[in-house]
Amino acid sequence: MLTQRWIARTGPRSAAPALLLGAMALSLCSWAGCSVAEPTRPRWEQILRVRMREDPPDTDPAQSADTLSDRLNLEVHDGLVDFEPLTLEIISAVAEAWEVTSDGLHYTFHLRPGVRFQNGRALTSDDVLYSFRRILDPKVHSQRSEILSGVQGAKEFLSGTSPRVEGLEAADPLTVRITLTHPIPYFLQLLATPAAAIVPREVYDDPGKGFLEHPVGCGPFKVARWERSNYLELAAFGDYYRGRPKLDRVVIRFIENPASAMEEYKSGGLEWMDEMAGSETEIARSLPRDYRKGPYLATYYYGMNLARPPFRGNVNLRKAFNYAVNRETICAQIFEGTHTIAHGILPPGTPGFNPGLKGFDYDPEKAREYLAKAGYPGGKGLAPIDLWVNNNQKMLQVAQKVQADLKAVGVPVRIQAVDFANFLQAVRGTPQTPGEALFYKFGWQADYPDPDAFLYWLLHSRNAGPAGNMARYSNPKVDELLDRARSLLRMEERIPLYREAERIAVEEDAAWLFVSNYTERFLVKPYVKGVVLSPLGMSRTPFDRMWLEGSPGSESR
Amino acid sequence: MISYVLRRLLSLIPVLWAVVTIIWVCVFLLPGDPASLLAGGQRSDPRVIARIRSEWGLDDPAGRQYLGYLARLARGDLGTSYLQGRPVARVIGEAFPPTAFLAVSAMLLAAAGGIGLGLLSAAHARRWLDDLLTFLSLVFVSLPAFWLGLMLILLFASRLGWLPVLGYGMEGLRIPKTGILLPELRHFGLPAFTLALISMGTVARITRAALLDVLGSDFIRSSAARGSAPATVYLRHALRNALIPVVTVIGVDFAALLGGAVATEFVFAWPGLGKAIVRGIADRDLPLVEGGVLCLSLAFVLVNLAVDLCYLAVDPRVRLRNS
Repeated sequence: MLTQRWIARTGPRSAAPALLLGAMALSLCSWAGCSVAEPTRPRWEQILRVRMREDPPDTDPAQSADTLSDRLNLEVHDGLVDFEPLTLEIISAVAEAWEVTSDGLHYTFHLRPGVRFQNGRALTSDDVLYSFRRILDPKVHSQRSEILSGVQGAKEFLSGTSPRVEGLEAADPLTVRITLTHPIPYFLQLLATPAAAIVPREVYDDPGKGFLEHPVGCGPFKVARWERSNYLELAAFGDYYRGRPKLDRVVIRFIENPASAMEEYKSGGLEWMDEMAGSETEIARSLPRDYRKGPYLATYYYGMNLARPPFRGNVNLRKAFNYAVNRETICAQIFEGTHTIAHGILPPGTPGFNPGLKGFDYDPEKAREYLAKAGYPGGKGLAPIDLWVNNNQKMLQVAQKVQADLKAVGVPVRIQAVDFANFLQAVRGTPQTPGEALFYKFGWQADYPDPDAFLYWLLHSRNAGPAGNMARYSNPKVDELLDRARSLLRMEERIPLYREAERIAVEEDAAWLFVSNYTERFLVKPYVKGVVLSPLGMSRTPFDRMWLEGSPGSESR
Repeated sequence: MISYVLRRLLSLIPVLWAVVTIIWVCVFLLPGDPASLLAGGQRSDPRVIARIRSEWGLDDPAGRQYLGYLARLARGDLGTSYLQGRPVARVIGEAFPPTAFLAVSAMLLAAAGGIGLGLLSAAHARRWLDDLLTFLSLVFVSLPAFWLGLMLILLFASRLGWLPVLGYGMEGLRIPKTGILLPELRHFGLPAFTLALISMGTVARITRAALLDVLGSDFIRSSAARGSAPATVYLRHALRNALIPVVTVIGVDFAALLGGAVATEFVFAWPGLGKAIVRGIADRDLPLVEGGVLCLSLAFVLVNLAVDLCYLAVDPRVRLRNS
């Protein structure tokens, strides 16, 4: 059956003793194996139950910087524009139409009339200005202020030297004008990220931050109930401007242990399940109608700290690493086909992806050759290199494979498996000082479907350290290509520049050890319809397009 | 009696101060930067990291951080969770009751079952039933909760379908005025049973040993010789005298259950404090870790005090010595 529920009882009751006795009686009852009858819910209620690893940490969209928070924020909030989940085209959201001047500096957004927040108030252009200023407000210290940092006056406002953002104006209650200091070809894409949500001032001006527990937006679902570490219930927002979602409720259940969640999914307690436990080949075979797999704009690489020896200035050593590792075995055996071999940085499907980029094939002979050229023939003279990974079974297996492959050509590698906080500190360092980690695994996913979302952040020397370029790769020619590409408006002109930058970083400089590209996978019950796999990740698979069909009772139990 | 309790309560102050200091030092020495974690895993703005660090006082000298922490504690303020942006006291207020419910029900089950099995074992001492029960107790004691929990899920939930796989349930009662949500009854079964099974082994073994000790004494022989029914001998005379070590073990186990049920909470997705603390450590949510461990330590010392008070009730000789 779709849901299991006890009759809701809310009246006052006497507390502690009854409760303890009840608990005891119940435990004994369950111990003895008695089963309890379950009243069923009316059939017509559409409820989707989804597994999430843990509570989303950032329910303030201005701070949304992880997939769990994005997932929630994208359901509760909407921005001016949105991505079509599959094709990633920009589609209208709160703004029904917009114009951009030919120089790419002036944007005029016409808001849809009749958009309401979940508290009932009508949304106006003032709310857009408020929300955008809030992202730039130094007191809010948003982790996503860069999405609007190209707006005229934003930098001054962000640094506290100016009280207003000149580039943000409301012409009338339904028209917003935004002026940029320089053309940003993917500006609309930035406005479609979860952080650019439009929020109501009366809720988000609260110094007590009540909005963290009771977020209010204009998106398709509102937060109805949140029992921490237990579940979060979303209810369809009846006045949603695109029409009320077909699902009445979405229950996000917090289940950390994937093995337990898997049993819950199989026994019918969940309609949706990510992060599968056990062999995926086996799961895909046993649940062929539930298993979904699609492309994901994300890359998996092994970074080398280019600011420290032995990698600093030694391109031959880096090439030797690239030739030494057998990516085919990693993708086919360890990742069980859920990763594809990466020849470069951009994953397939990203605009500007270069299918002609050759990268490095597995060739231990060449690896030995380059190792000798690097000054370490047969690995002689090379001190053991620490390879940093965070504690995760799959990642550890890959690290062991990389370790074995490198050892085979003579490079000694020691694995440092630590928890994520430790790992991040060792890898990132600060903008000025490189981190302690010499060699580390890392993953990168696109926030917006543009080559800039990978290449600028990962390769530009301006972003050395926490901003994204953790390898501290620095090549003035690549910097220049990237700067030029982000100032041009036409994709046809930009792509050759990005391809050249990527080619230099990969084939000339061997900036990292390029490993693989992810795919997105999850299990969803066959009676859930309208599921779209977005290349921007699972958080971009909108619940408001889904509905349940057929007889789940017979399917799930 | 009252002065004894007061004395014991006063002696808790230095204990708690030591606990607080040890926790603070451990948390302070944890590697990894909380601000950097909070500012985003993929990429983060170094200026945002710097602002967060200064707002949380992470750049202050260690001495000032420690004194500030003590001063806040003295005011009853556990601080604000870095990750959730809510007062730590509230986070604990939500996470402690589920842990306590689970620990209490598991302990009641374990005590009832363990004492029962221990009695049975002692009554059949050195016969096949005793050997079997001793063997089973050993098995229970040795099982890791993580594994046992998953096995019970596979059997009772997945295979037989008698109980829910996991979770706290969504429609449990709420205690009025406190906002505390009770778990749904059916959801109690497996996690409580998992925890109980492990403790039950210890309790059964201790009960058996203590009973055998007492059963060898003269007053039991005389009581049997006077013609008392075996049930009277076992339950009224022998068990009562054997209870002191049993109560001690139950107390220690209960205190451990309050803090040590992490694996069970993890397997059954139980929204308890143990899981919250472990997550707090991973996320470097330092105030939450400090507050959570402090809360568990407090529960631990209070349970120990309660155990000592139980001795008074169980054994009049303890009272005599104290007065």
